Amino acid sequence: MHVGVANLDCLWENRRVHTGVSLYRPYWGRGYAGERARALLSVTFDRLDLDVASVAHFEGNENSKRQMEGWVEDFGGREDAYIRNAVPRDDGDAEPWNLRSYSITAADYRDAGGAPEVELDPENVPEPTSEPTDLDRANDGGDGA
Amino acid sequence: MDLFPAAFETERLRYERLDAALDALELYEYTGTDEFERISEHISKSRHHHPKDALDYLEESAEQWTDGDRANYAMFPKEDEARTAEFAGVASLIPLWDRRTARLGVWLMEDYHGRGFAGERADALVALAFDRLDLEMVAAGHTDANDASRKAIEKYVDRWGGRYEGVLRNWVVLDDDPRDLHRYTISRDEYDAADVDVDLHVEETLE
Repeated sequence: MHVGVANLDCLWENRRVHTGVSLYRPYWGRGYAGERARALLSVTFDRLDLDVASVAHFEGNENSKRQMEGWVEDFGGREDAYIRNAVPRDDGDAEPWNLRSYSITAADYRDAGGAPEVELDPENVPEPTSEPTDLDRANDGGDGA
Repeated sequence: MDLFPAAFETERLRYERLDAALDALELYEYTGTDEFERISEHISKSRHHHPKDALDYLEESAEQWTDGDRANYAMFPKEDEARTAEFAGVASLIPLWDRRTARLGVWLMEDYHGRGFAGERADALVALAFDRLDLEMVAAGHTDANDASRKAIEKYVDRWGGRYEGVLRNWVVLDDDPRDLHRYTISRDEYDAADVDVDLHVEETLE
């Protein structure tokens, strides 16, 4: 079953990943974004050996803000910056988005005990579905959620 | 009329479109030196290893100028006659049109450090970004270890009522090394509310 998309953008030269998620509306509010975040942090730090994981949401998106603040805090991360006019909107035709940006370092992650529950190579992987289970898809973040 | 003025003057400096003001060999006399290696330590610009690097830089500069994507200005002290021997550095105005934002950049030769030239240049480019280019935001940044830039930026951002936005981890890569970037912005509202006297004289064509 396909509930949304989780992104992991590797900026190798920066030794950083940028993470994002979009979930179909029926799957909001179930903690999936946080569960996904723990898995992506494990990939970032335990497998890819990178130094920083960053994440951001558009100013005003309270759902993203709430879920992000939760897991960023759990892993000892911090809010880094509020960036004005950070992201173009409608190919530059509309007012650009303001962005609130957060990050977690590898040291933060390890100090917080990592994410031992995450299985990076599970024996049983669910079959992906090509079609979303609901077309009411909401992307809840600028560069990510 | 080009989007960017071909030249302008502030209290102590004259600014001319870089690719018209210096040829590659003249620029290389500054950018190919150990001094340039030192002053470019904290910025996303590297020493030119041979005159061809300087030529490529000028050609890129000319193209970006024509496209309205970036204005690079050579800075000269006003009172001096022998100008190319008294080149002070380069000031950049980089519009990010889809973000309605102008990014500022600058480097100064060591003789011009610590004398307020970066601030004098910033005031003029801030005014051009809002009044001429009709942008909504001016942004500047510096890497963690760049104290000289931090001091200069803090001073003019404060003068214009702008704000420090925060520090972004591993945001830029200099010499293969990821660095944290401190970011600042000045909005149009802040610009309009600030009571700063800008000494700026614009010339549309080079004499």
